[in-house]
Amino acid sequence: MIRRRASPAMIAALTILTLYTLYSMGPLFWLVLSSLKSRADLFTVPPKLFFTPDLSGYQGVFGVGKAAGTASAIGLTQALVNSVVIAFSGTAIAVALGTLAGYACSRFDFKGKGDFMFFALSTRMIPPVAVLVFYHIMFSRLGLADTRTGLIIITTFINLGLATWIMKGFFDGVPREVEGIALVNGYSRLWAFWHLVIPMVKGGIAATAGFCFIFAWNEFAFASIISTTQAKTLPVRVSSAMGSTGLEWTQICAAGVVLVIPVAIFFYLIRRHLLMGMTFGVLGKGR
Amino acid sequence: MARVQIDQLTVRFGDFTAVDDLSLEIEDSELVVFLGPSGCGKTTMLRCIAGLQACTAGRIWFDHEDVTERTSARRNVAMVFQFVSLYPHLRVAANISFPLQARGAPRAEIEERLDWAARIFGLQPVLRRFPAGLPPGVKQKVALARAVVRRPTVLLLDEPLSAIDESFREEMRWELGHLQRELGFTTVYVTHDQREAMSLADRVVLMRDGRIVQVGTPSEMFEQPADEFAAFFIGSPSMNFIEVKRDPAGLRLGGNDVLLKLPAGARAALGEVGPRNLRLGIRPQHVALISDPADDAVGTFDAPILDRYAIGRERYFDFALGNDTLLGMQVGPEAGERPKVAFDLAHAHLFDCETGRRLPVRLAGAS
Amino acid sequence: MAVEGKADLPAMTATERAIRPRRDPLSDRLILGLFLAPSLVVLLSMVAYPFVSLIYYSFLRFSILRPQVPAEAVGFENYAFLLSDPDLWSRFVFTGQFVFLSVGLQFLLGITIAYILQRDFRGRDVIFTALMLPMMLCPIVVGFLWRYMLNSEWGVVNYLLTLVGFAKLDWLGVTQNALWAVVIADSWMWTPFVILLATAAFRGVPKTIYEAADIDGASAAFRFFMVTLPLSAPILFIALLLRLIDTFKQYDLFFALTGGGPGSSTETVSFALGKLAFSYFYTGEASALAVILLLIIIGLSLIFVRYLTKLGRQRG
Repeated sequence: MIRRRASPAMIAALTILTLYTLYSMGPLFWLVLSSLKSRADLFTVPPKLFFTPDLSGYQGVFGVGKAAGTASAIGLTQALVNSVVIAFSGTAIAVALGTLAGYACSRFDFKGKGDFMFFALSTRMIPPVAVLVFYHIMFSRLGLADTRTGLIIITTFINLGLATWIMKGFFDGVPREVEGIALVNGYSRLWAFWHLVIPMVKGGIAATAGFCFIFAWNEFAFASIISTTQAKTLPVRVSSAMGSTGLEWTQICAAGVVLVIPVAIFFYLIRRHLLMGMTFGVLGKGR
Repeated sequence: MARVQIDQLTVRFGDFTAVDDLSLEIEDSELVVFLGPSGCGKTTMLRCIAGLQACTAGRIWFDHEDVTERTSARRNVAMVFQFVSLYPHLRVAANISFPLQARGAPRAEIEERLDWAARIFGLQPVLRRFPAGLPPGVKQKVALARAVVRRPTVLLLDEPLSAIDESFREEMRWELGHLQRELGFTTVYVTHDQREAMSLADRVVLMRDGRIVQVGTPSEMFEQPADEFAAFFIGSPSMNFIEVKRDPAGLRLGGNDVLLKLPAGARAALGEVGPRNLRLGIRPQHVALISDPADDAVGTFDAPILDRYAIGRERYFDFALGNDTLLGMQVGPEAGERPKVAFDLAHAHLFDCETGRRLPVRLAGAS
Repeated sequence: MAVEGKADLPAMTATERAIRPRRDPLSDRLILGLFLAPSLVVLLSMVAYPFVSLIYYSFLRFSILRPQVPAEAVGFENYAFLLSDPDLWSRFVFTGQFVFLSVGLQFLLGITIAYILQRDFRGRDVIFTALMLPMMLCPIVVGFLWRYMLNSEWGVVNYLLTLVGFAKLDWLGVTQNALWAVVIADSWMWTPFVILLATAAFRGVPKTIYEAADIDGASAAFRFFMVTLPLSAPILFIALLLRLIDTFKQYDLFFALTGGGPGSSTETVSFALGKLAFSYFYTGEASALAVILLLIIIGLSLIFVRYLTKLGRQRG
């Protein structure tokens, strides 16, 4: 493009962006800062920016040091492994199934398509609080209580509607000529789907996977009910390690930091797909 | 409508030079066609004129205004893209009137111009429709309507007919040419199809590797190609090229054994040409078979006829010269028993093998 | 002829358009079934029992806490009781306010930031990834964090306010302020969601359309409102729908940030539901309330979905 000189519009844009970034990152920064404070330092007036770091928050979270010996039987590593396995598996399955269903709803017109789409969406509308008990009963009867498998199923279920809807949106943006051209040349629709269409929605898959992972990882309500000992996920484990002595702010902040790191890592790993692959339309291959 | 002046335009992408020091003047209301193979820089050129591509060096003028630094919006150009870029969410009418609305034109004016544009292109029946269901030919007409609706200074067309069915292309080509003459917009047209260029252009700008090979009217390009590339690229079927060696009586063709007799004037002119290797170029249209020419007739010779065939209404024959097979066209009555190959010397060209440039030697000099 | 991953095959388009793509109806139907079946199975099986139970229990008086006390069938008594409770309506109003403000703010900010981030500049990708962080946090942590930050005495927000000359605000003790507190916390957390999807939507607009708009003389603003936004509408609507649904359900944030207070003035319907289910353990009433909430969300969503399909059909 012809180079434009810095216009008032650009300056305004930069200002807004800077302000928003500060507003967005500020509390995060404060979270990390607070997690390293000692209990006393937390409540000073004015709030302290500089202080001697204190790891009591993290110690509480991990159940080590001064906080050793409190809370339940499982060590943190077990919970970490549980969370990773469950979140990854649940996300993978939800994204895979959602992609397939989203494609079907995008390309085919069938009776009850609207109903199916709406039904998928409605699964997300249920406030977990209302149905926790029933899931507990159901899973107990199926022998899935307190199992990783059970939680994987729950995780998949939570995210399936989201995945389907978002992927359908992305598939809608891929023109039908793409498969049309392949079909005329004798390729099967499956081939076209896998080799042509999927690469075009890689960005969408990345975004969907990112969202699903967030919801899977931070899932607390269901996890706390379904997993009681063996299959405890990290959020549950962390909260139980805190609960005994009341509202421990440093521990909460430390827990927040600990919990967000794996998600951040996940997003970092998929960042290239998120940023570059995200196109809805394909026709934009202008010179 | 304006004169466009392109002055030493250069566009570089890193190490790659897409357009190399290109200068050209386009007259008011002229239809200039940029022709060339893929990657020759013609589209880059067009985008520079449009303001979509920044130039590394050089300047562009519309009449007497230097528009090099201006954004597209401020150049009052209009462009029709190769891949249809109509606004999919707007109906045809809204698409056409978009440029006027973008510039805040009054309602009455928008309606009037919309009406006018729709009438020219016969788009009234589809005004209420969305682009999605329309055939490509109609879509490009909408794009054209959108382009002319605000009377641009320069009209730019980037291979607009390439996505249209062969069968409709000729018709649209004719319509386009007719419209351009009627409306009188200065038009720059980009294509790789030399037939298109030859049938539409007031002048053709042949490009290769970022440079201009030749600028001229279609007949100039056809009759007086600047070099071998121009000679080969233009004209269909393409020109025959034969290695030749000099001989007192004329030229020895392809290998040495066939003598092409030349008239005295031509022989003299040949003598003036310094020591260099030569190639003869002649279009199949100017190679015929004749029966019983006089023995010392110029421009004829014996050559084995490999095949005779017809494609559509055209009759062709293949003949051999040395190791090459060349093409000729039969016009007029069928040749008799032992036909000879005849070159129309008035349309034969000599090229310098090293530089590829055409030598200004007339081979049909007086006897 | 090998067909590569990219679909710009212009020479093909002309001919191919004349020929309808060969559709093998049988194999297509097979694929349709195959692609849909797994999702359908998962969804149905997971929804069936709990949902039926929910409706079933809504007609009973029952408490999980005391399963030995047999359930009494009380018809619509639970519903009647709930619907006649004036507090319920005020909670609905409050929930409505919260959803409207929070989602509104998310979209206003989200679209603006996505718009700004369209132009490439140094460090843009890093900033973009960093801006995604807030939604990665655990909702309960976010609630507690903002509660900590918004504390009237030692909260950092009030401190910053005093630095620029404003007075300290009682964020969580005054209902009006508490509403804004949750709105800020919730939208702070979820604006990245909108940014991500809006960015994806904006990138989906073909480059040549932008070029055409430029040549047509559209200013940046005109282009944004007349081209970019309309073409992004489908995805933005999906984002809107998802955010609305999630915000109605929001519980963790309220639990941690306000606990429903001051008093019970910041209790959303979801929060009230949580109280019924797990503080009072009135399973029957909780179920009934859940059904009511569901019906409302379903109703609103239907409107949206209908509008979405209309948009899609228009564009072909």
